[in-house]
Amino acid sequence: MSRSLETQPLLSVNRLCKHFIVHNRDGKKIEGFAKASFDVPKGSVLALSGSSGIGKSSVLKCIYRTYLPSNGSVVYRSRMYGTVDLAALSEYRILQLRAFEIGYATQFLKILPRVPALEVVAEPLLDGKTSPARARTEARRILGRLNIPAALFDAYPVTFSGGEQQRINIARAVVARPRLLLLDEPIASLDEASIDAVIDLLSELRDLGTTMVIVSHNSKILKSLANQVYRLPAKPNQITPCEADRLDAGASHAG
Amino acid sequence: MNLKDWKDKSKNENAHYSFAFIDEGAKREIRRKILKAIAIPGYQVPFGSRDMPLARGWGTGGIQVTLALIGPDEILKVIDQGADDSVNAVNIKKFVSKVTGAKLTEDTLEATLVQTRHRIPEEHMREGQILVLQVPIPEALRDVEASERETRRMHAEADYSAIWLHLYENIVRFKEITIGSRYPVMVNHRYIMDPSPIPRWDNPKLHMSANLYLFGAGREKRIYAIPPYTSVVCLEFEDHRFRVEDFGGAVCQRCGSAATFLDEMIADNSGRRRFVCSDTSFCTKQVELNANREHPLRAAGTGD
Amino acid sequence: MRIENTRYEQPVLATRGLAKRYGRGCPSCYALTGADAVSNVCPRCRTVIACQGVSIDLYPKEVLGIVGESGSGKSTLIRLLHFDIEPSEGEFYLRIEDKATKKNIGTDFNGRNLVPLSPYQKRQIRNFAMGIVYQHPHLGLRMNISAGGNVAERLLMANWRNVADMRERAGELLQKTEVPVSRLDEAPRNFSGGMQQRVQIAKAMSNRPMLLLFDEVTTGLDVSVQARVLDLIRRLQKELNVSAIVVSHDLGVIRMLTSRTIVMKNGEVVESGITDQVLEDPQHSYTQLLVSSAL
Repeated sequence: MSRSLETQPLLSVNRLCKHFIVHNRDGKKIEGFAKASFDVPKGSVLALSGSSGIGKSSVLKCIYRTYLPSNGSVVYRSRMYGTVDLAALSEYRILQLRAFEIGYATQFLKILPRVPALEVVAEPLLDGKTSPARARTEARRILGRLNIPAALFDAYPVTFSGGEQQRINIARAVVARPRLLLLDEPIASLDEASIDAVIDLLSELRDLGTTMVIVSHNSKILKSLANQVYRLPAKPNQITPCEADRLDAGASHAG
Repeated sequence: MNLKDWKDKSKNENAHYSFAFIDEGAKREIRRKILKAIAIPGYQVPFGSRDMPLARGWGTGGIQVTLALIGPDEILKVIDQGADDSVNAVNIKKFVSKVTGAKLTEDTLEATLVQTRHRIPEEHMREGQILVLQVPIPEALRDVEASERETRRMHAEADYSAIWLHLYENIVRFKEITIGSRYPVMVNHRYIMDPSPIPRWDNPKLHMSANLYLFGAGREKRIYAIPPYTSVVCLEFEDHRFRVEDFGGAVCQRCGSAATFLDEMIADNSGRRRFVCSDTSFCTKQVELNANREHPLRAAGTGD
Repeated sequence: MRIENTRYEQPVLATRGLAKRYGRGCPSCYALTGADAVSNVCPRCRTVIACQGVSIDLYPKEVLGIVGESGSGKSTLIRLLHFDIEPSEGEFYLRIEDKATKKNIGTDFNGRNLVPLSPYQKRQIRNFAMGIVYQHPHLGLRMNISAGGNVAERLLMANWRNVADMRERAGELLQKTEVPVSRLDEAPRNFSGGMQQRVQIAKAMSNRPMLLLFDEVTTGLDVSVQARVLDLIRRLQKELNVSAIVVSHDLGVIRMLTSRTIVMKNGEVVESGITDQVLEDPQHSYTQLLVSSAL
C-alpha cells in the first residue's frame, strides 16, 4: 500500500447517528446515540466509553450494520473492496466483509443449541479458508488461551456459565484474525484470571496488527489495551442531532 | 369375393351389412387414428370405440382395427395365446370371415394380416404384413399412477421417473425385475409403451422389425402403433439388463424346438409336466419339417 | 436493496414483480390488497391475491430467509420458485454456472425469463438445479417406497441408470443426514417425523442441486428434533456451498440459518435486509410487531 493510504485511519466514523422509529407507539422516535465521530488508525485500539444507556453498543452495531445508521458515514479501508462506507454498502458486501475482515462479539451468545463449543469457535474458519482440521486446532488453541478447559470442548455452550459463554464469544470473534474487531463489553462477566487472559490475547492480536473498537469502561482495558478513548456525548433533549444536520447541511439519509 | 360382389344382394346374402360390419364413418375414423398412431410411435391415440358383437375385454379393440383395415382379398390369421384353435380365435375368425369374405389361414407367413391375443408369432414377419394385438390395458404407467390425467401429462412431458422407480424398487426387493408380461418399452426414444400382455420372450421382436405392429384397446379406447424399423428398447438398468424367460433346458415335446416360447401343460392325471410350443402353427410346421428331414429321399430342410 | 454489478456478485436467483392470483381479477385487485390493506382478498371481485410485486435476489452460497405469518404468501412464493404453480405475472431468472448441470438441462437459460418456458423445460431445470424440503413429509416423499428408493427417485430423474451406484449414493446421503443405513430399504411411513424430514433432506441433496428450498421444515417437530434438523441443514449448506431459501414463521429458525431475510405480509414484501439487522433494527411496523411478539 502507498504511504498516504497507510496513514489514513482504518476506520473513520463521521457524524454517525441513529434513531429508532417505533411504529407501534405511533411512530415515536427514540434516540440511539448522539452524533459520534472518531478515527481509528490501523493497528490501534479505540475504547468507547460513556455512562450506561448512552448508546455505546449501538455505535458498534451501526459499524457492524446490525443497525442501519440514520445519518453519517462509517468509512472503512477494506482489503476486498477498497475504501467503502459501511453505512451505505450493499448487503452482499457487508456479509462478505463480516466473513473475512470484520469480527464482532457481544455480551450474548446466540447459537444453535446443539453445537459443541469447539465447532462454534471453529465455524468462522470453516468457510473454506482452511482445512477443517486446522480450523479445529486453531479453535482449541484460542480456547486454551482463554482458559476454557478441554473437557468443555465437546459440550454445548448453552450449558456454560455467563463467563464461559462470553469467552466462547470472544474466541469465535478472533479465531479468523479479522482486520477489524468490534467488542462489546468483552470482560463484563469475567473473573480476574479470565480478564487477564482475555486482555493478554487481545494485546497479542493488537501487536499482530488487528484494529479494535472496544466498548468498555474497565480500567484495565483502558490502561493496557486502548490507544485512545472516545467518550460518547450525552443525548440532547430537543432537536435530535440528525435533524440538526439535515437542516443545516441537507445531508442525504443513508438508510 | 371383391367389394362389388359383396354389395350385390344376389351374390351375397349378407349384403345388407356394411362391409366388415362397421360403417364407413367408423372405418374412416379408425384409419385416421391408425395413421396418427404410426406417425407418433408408441403414443396412445384415443378413438371412439364402437359397439362390437362381443363384450368389452374380449378383443373389441383388436377387432375394430382389423375390420377397419381388412379387404375382401386379404388373408387373415387369428391366434389366442399362440393357438389358432382356441375358442376365442376361432370365434373371431369366423366372424371376420363372415362380414368380409376374407380367406382364413393358420400359416403366419401366408397371412397378410394377423390378429393376436397376448403373443407374437415365432416366425419373422415380412414387410407388408400387419400384426394387430389385442390390448386390455394400454397405459404402461397405470401400475404406478392411477389417474389418467396424470399419466397423460407424464407422457406429454416425458416424466417417467415413477415407472423407473417401480423397477428400481423391484430390484431392491427381489434382486431382479419381476414383471412377467406387459414389460414396458421405450419406443423411438420418446414414449414408454405397454406392449400388451405378451411374455418377455416376445419383447425383442418389436425392435427394428420389418412388419407393422398395431395395438387396439377397445374398452380403454386407444390405438397405438410401432411402424417398421423402429427402435423399441426394454427398460433396463446398466447392472440389471433385460432378459427373457429361461425354460431351464426344456424343449417342445412335439417338435423338439429349444428356441420358442413354451407352454407348460399338465400331461395327465399323474401331474407330469409337458412342454409344448405356444405357437401351434409354428410347432406343426416344425413337426412336418422334422418328418421330411427324416425321410431319406428328401433334401435337408433349413428349418427356421 | 442495493445491487453491485461486478461479475461475481450477480444473484443466482432473481424474481421481478412475481404475483399469483386466484380468481378472475379486476383492475383494482393489487391496489386494494396487500400489507397496507391487511387483506389478501380483493373487495371488488373477491379474487385472492396470494402474492404481488415480489422482487427478491438470492446471491451465491447465501441462505435467504422468508418470514411471515399465514397469508403472507411465503409458501406461495416457494411453490412458484419450484415451478409447482404458475405465476399470474412477473419474471423469474436463474443463473446456472455449473457445467454439469447446464449440460444435463440441455439449454442455457441464463438471462432468460423462466416463466414462459414449457412444463418439460421447467421440469428439467427443477430436476437438475433444485431441491426442496416440504413441511409435511408426505408432500415430498412417497410413503410406500423405501427410503433409499425415495432418494433414488431424484437420481432417476437425473438419468442415473445403475442400481448399485444409486444404492451407494442413497446410502451415503442417508448416512450424512444421520438416518441409520439399516433403514435404507424401509418405507418412511414407519419413521418418526424428524427422520422423515431427514430423508427429505437427503433426497433434496441427492443430485447436487445449486438451489435448496426449505418450506417450514421444522414446524411441528419436537424441539430437540428441530435443533438436530436445523444443525444438519446448516452444516450441509456450508459443506455443499449451495444457495438456499428458508421459509419460516419462526424467527429463531431465521436467525440461526439465514444471512439475509425478507419479511412478507398479505402477499407483499414489506422489508428486506441482513438478518440480524432485520431482527434487531426492524424498519417496517409489521416487522417490529413480529420481532416484539416473538417469545
